Amino acid sequence: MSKEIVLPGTRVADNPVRCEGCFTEDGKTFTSVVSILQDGKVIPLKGKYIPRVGDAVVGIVSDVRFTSFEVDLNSPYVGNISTKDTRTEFELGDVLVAKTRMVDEVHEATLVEPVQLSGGRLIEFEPVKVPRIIGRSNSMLSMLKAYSKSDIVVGKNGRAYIKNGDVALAASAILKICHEAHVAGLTDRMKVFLEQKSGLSLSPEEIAAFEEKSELPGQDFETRERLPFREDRPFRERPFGGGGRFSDRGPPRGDQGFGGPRRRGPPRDY
Amino acid sequence: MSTSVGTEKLIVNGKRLDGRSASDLRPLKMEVGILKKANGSAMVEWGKNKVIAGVYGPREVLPKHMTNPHKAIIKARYAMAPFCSLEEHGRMGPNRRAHEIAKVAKHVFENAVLVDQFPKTMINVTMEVLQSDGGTRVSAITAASLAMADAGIPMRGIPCGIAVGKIDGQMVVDLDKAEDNKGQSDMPLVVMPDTGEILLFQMDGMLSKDEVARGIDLAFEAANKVREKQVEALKTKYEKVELEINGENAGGDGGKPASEITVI
Repeated sequence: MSKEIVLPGTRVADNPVRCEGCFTEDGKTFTSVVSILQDGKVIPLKGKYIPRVGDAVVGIVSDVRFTSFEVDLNSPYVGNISTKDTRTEFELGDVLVAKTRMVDEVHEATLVEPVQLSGGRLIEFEPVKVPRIIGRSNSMLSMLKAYSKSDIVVGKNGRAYIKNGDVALAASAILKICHEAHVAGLTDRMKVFLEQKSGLSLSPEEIAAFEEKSELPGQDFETRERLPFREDRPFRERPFGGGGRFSDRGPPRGDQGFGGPRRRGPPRDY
Repeated sequence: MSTSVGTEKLIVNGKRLDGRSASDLRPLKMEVGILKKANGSAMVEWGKNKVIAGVYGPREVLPKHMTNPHKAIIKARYAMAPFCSLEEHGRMGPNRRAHEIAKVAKHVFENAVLVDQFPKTMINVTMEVLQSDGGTRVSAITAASLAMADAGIPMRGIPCGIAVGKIDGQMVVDLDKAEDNKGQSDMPLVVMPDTGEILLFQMDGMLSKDEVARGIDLAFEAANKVREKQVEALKTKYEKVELEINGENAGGDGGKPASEITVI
């Protein structure tokens, strides 16, 4: 197993390959960030989070608007939640976990299924380390949960929310993973660390059996009840408030041109 | 010497004032990750020059009207500390020279960074000269390139700064302050050794066509040495962690204690 640190501008393939941390030029592939080259795979060591469709993200509400909430995603780009997609009335600074349903061409995300998080602790780390914190088929995360007895939700955007149990242990373990992710033997080291700090010694079966009823939504969003939105909503003959095409106030102004005074016909009887 | 501007000789018996030959660099020391709050940072000590560079971003553009929906914009700042030198160019505050260097540094990174990957964002790069002894713009850009790489900002390669110039009628690399002021010409370059591109080309004084060509050859040769140091600095950051751990494992300690890990 070959493993080496490569720098921007290192040629990694003689054919164009689409992968994270790489760019192609003249039909060849080069790395664009400081990465680890392991068995022909490029793993970036640093970088900001760019929203991708289907990610679970932990966000902080950064603006409350009339029909939407703006969410800070620990990224250069923000996410938006439409009030159509949630019944929660978020306030500025609320922490939530949500799923990215759509990302536009300037990387701005539309979030759905938001769930508010409270009473725990939010930590931030390098987004590129998220796969190491979760581990292969959730192995690292379930180990963290079993030893710290905490509920943990990890967002792809480099944020984790920890509640209950030994929060400090879970937080320091996550930061330790980020610090040492590029050095071989991470799982064994983390096991030793967690055993030392928690005073517990759990077998792999016990860790696998640790299926506590979590207060927080699961990583994959499958365990959660889906909130009704868009097409799932029951049909309503007339929506709340306002004019629009369901109103008995006549057709919307848009039918007669864009805004402005209505010039044709007699004044309406309101 | 008839070709020299000043009265003293800058090259005696083939050696320069500090004993270097024409193609020798001053001692070079680099380190990355020195500022914890920056996304990426670096320090370069190049002879008596000492520069700190920090990179922040990509992040939301402020002021907002400067947003470019097609690519990231780069904002550069170059500043000399008031105590960086005994002479006048180390004075405080933004001045013509600092603005110029910030502008050329900005153009260097616009061509090195893959700006189209981050629409509607800006990347701030700041270069602070703590001590100056000639060739600070190339030291600053070298430090800023390291900081960019440390911040994980996608680039086509790592730019290397290198100054060449003409003293006593001879082309030499890496001019120090005495050579810069008393020599005949000074040509700072920023190159990308991987691709052979020139990202910055400035010149002060007079050079013939052949001298420029010779200068560029010397610069690329020297840039490879600068690059070696940059590679070393970037790798050391990660190898240091590995060393720490393997040292601990040898002692059977098994990992860093939680108290030593800073929790936000």
